Amino acid sequence: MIWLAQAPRIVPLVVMLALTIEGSAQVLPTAGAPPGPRTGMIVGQVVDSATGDPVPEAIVVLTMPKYFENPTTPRGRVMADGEGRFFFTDLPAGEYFLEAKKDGYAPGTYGQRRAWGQTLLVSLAEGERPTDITLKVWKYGVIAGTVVDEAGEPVVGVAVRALIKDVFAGRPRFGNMQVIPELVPIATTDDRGMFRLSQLMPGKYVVLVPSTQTTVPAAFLEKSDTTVRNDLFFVGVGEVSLLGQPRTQQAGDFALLTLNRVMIPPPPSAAGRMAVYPTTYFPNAATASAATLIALEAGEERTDITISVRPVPAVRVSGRLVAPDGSVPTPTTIRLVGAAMSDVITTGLVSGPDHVGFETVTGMSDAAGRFTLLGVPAGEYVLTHANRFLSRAIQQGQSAYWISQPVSVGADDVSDLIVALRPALRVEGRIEYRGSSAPPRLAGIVFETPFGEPGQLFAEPTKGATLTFSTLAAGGQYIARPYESGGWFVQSVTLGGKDITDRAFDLNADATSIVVTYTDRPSKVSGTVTDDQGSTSATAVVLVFPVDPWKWSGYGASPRTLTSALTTRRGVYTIDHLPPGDYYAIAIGSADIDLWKDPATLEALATQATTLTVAADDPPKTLDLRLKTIR
Amino acid sequence: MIFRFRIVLIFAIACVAGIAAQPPARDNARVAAGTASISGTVFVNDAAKQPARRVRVTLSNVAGTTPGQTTTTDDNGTFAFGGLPAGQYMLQAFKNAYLRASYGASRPDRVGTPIVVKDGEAVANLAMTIARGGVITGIVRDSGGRPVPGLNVRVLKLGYNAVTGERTLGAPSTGSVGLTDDRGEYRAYGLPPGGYLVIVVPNVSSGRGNDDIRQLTSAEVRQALQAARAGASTPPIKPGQAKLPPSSSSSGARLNYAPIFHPGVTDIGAATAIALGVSEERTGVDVMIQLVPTATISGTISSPTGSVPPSLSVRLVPAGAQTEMLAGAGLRGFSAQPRPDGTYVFTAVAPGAYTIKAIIGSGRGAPPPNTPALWAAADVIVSGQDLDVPLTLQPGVAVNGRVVFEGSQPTAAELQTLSFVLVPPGSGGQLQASGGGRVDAEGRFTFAGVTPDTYRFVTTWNAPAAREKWEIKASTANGRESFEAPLRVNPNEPVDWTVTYTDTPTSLTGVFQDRGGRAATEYYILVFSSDRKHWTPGSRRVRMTRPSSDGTFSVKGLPPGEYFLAALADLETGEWNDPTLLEQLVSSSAKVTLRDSETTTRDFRIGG
Repeated sequence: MIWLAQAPRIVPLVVMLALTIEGSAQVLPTAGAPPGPRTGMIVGQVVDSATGDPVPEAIVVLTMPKYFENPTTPRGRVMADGEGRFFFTDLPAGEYFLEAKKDGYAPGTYGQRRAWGQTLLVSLAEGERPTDITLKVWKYGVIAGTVVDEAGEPVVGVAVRALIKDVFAGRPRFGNMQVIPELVPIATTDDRGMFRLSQLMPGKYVVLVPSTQTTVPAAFLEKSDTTVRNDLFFVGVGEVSLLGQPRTQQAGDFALLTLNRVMIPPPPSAAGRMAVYPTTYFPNAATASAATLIALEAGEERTDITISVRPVPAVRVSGRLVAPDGSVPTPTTIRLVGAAMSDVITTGLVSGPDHVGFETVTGMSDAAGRFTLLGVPAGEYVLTHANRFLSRAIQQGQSAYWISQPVSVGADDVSDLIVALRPALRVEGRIEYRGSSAPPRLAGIVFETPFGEPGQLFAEPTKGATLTFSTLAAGGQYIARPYESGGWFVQSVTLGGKDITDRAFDLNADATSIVVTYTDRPSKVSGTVTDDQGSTSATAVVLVFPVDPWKWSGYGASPRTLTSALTTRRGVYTIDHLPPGDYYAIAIGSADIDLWKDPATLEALATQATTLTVAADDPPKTLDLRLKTIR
Repeated sequence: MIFRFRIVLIFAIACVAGIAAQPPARDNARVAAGTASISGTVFVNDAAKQPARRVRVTLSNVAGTTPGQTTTTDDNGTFAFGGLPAGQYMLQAFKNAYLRASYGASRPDRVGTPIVVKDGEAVANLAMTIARGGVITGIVRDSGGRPVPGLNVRVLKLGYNAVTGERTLGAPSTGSVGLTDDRGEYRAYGLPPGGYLVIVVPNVSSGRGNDDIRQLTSAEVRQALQAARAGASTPPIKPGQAKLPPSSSSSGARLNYAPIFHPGVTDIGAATAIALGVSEERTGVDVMIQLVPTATISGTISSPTGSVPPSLSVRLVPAGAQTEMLAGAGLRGFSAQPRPDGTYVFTAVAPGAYTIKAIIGSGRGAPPPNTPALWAAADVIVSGQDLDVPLTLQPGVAVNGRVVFEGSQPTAAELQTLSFVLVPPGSGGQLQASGGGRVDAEGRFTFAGVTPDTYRFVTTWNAPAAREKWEIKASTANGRESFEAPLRVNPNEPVDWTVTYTDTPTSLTGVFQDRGGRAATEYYILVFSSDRKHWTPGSRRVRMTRPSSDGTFSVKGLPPGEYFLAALADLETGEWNDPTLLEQLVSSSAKVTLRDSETTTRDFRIGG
């Protein structure tokens, strides 16, 4: 049961790890204390990233990640003085993590060029005492306003979200690339219908009121049924209230659950026609791409955002789930996904019970395999399985199925829909370590979707004589992304002997012959960045991307072939490993790096970039770069 | 309190005592859809009395024999439920930012009265009103007067614990708890009238890895800068002052934020309560937070078996007279996991009185099987100084219970849906499963290792028909009465506990009428012991009920004895735990005597 409770967080966590490891020096904890005399010092200042002004009384935290587990390892938490200055003494040589936190600002870790961006460790030689360590913090912006319904009445207690416009795998997408759920901007309207999203980074946003309906067989809600509760928890429905509660409305054999922070639908018309509030983007759009973008500067406040929600007619979609052998499946959670979710990256948005989803409707079949989905507006949908953790079904002794069936909904009820369940596909393989060092402590494979579509999955290895892994998946396109840690890097991934390293493969049958090969001899690339005057640049960013423009999109969440590295205090950048191939490399000032993975930006960067070719088993390369200005 | 209840003179108009008739046996099956209906309109309780649209109205069957129903009012505020079997129903109305309204309640947030419907009856044109909730809003600032964003603010209502009857705090609405925004503002809404405390809870959780803050002065920074630039082999800073504070060190003045009550005090007893009227908006309820000196509490746990069980956890919980209030405010202390060598540590502990408790498991669920039931406890006073507190584990006490039934016997299936929960003092209304308490088919239940203390017990019985039929008559533990007195668990003294149920409990029934002989339904009926020694919080000899829409009322299962019966025009939930109220009621009460296994029927006329 402990595993069950933790499972919904696994996938986001894996992505987080992957992002953290990307491009930055790998630090895995080591037993023992840091060696050497403790004669070093660090003196520095916390400043506002936009103005450079000191930020008084910020909290500064220092740790030594490599020796974190040792009780004698230096660590501290100080409050900076009135001019944002801080210091730490008695430090041995080593690498330090330094972070500043201040209310109203995004926290700043040493080396960061943008909020929530890549970070560096402070490298301290024995007895070294730098006095110029600057920690930047980023002042949050605010988007505030009111949600009103069709009668002009303020809407109370509903969730309002802001999604930042970004580029994901080469396409414009809305979402929050920060997968830490606590950081996803979400607010709840108060008794005046007012909301205030107050932890926003500079950028362009769409603001929306998400709406979703959930339909469950009424018999399951007569008394507390933990099976129903668990199944719905796993699809993001955290609150299940019984019949006769304010958020549960029975309609025949099924009951409509309205999640907390979602609008309760209006009562049906006299003729029994239902209406629902659809997901609404500011000012009153149905999709993110049709919404009005709100551009926000650092520390800017926009307080005039009025979102008008109005009900639309909705019908009921009902039918029957049929297992491949024609039998009746156990109660199964299903979902209709419509336009409200298009162009939205949902990773990190729908991971917890408290996070209101974007899917139009979620449902559950009854003991006879029948389902009804109440409150479906007209539109084009895909009916899918809702359980993202197919392997959980197997652990519970049930069959794991997936569904992907287009459903077109018009003005009338859809009934007698026959929905064919397809057996989940097996994804299995083995891991080989080719090298002399000890295999890493951390292993696992994320199967990313090429454009961030929902359905990313994770395979945990089963330890044995040979390291194997297995998981279950729905059909579709995936990119295998094995973890890279402990000095080991992916050399190749093959499926049935065919190379699928860093590229999408079609999963339309069981894939049981995946081989992941690791090497401990990475093709490391490093160098020094200098500016036009010939002095080293401590604030540059080095960008590396493939020469082939076909590889500028569809590469999933954490591409290894599009990567960036920060320069250190000494102007040195390091890329731990680049897969073999032809690349462009360019060093630019930190101000120019937002949305650099946009293919249009890559095209502009390519004209000034240096080419770089990496072959398998290359020795470490040195590539010095001159700082370029992009306009 | 901020309202005045009206005590009503009542006169007994008939008195019949007799042997109780057996209630008709019911089963658990759902009753087939019926032919009665209930409909009406919800209005906004303000000067305009407009119909209230989009109100969720719920209907529940008092006997629990049919599932509840829910509907939504239309733009005219109307609602309707059809197809109802005959029975008694409660109606409630909900709307965000408004106060929950129960049909027949005199005010928002009060207990309602059941509606009695017969087969085929159409109860129409019921009128309900809902009032806007009150608002409390303000700004949280630090000692420098700067607004502090992102802090957890709880606006909590003073009330009574449903189990212990003690004064405590609780969140009255979903809009009553939230974070301060970027301007340091909080806004609690949907608040029923009553007394409130405002509490700011910092994002501090004690345990390993949560270091205290060391405040750097400008002078210290200047010294450090000089030392760094001079390249001196050691900085010219006094040792023990500028050193990094390692997690386990006691050097340096350490500070942290502690929970603060409006207007800016750490002691809940010194907090200023806010009296909020119906739909009142109170602004400017500001709070000033402050840093307090913190301490580290650490120690070693020793065990009779030599090793500390891995499932052992250590909790640091507030102690003293205000624990019930603090627990109601969600301030239940911290939990830490001992290290394998048996040491434990709590960092960032604010000043105050605490109890350190070592328990198996988290205390909220059953401990893992085959784990010895061990416990330890120690009281400490913290005032900024670090403390070393050794703990010695002792065996927990086995509580072996059984239920016996006088008269007819429940089925084994019914029995197995019965369970017992022990509620320790100072729990703030949260029930703690003590690892056990489920009744088996033979009527036995156990708690494997209970920490010595005094407990109240509550039961849940998920068989509606059985729950209706049987009432607890007596409870005896190791020869001590434990139904009305707390269940006492002494060290090293296993408890042999018997709970006796009866299907012929005492019963008091009757009809309330007005002067014209019509059903009088708007009153709160309080039945309480005539013996003042029973006027204690959570007393089993004080009971509140409401008449149904036909004026009938019924109170079952009070211990036999002499009682007062009083009628009030208004009564806040739990207020009967206040003996001064009961004292005021005595002179206008009627006296009734309840006898073992008997139903006493008394009708009453209001106002004479």
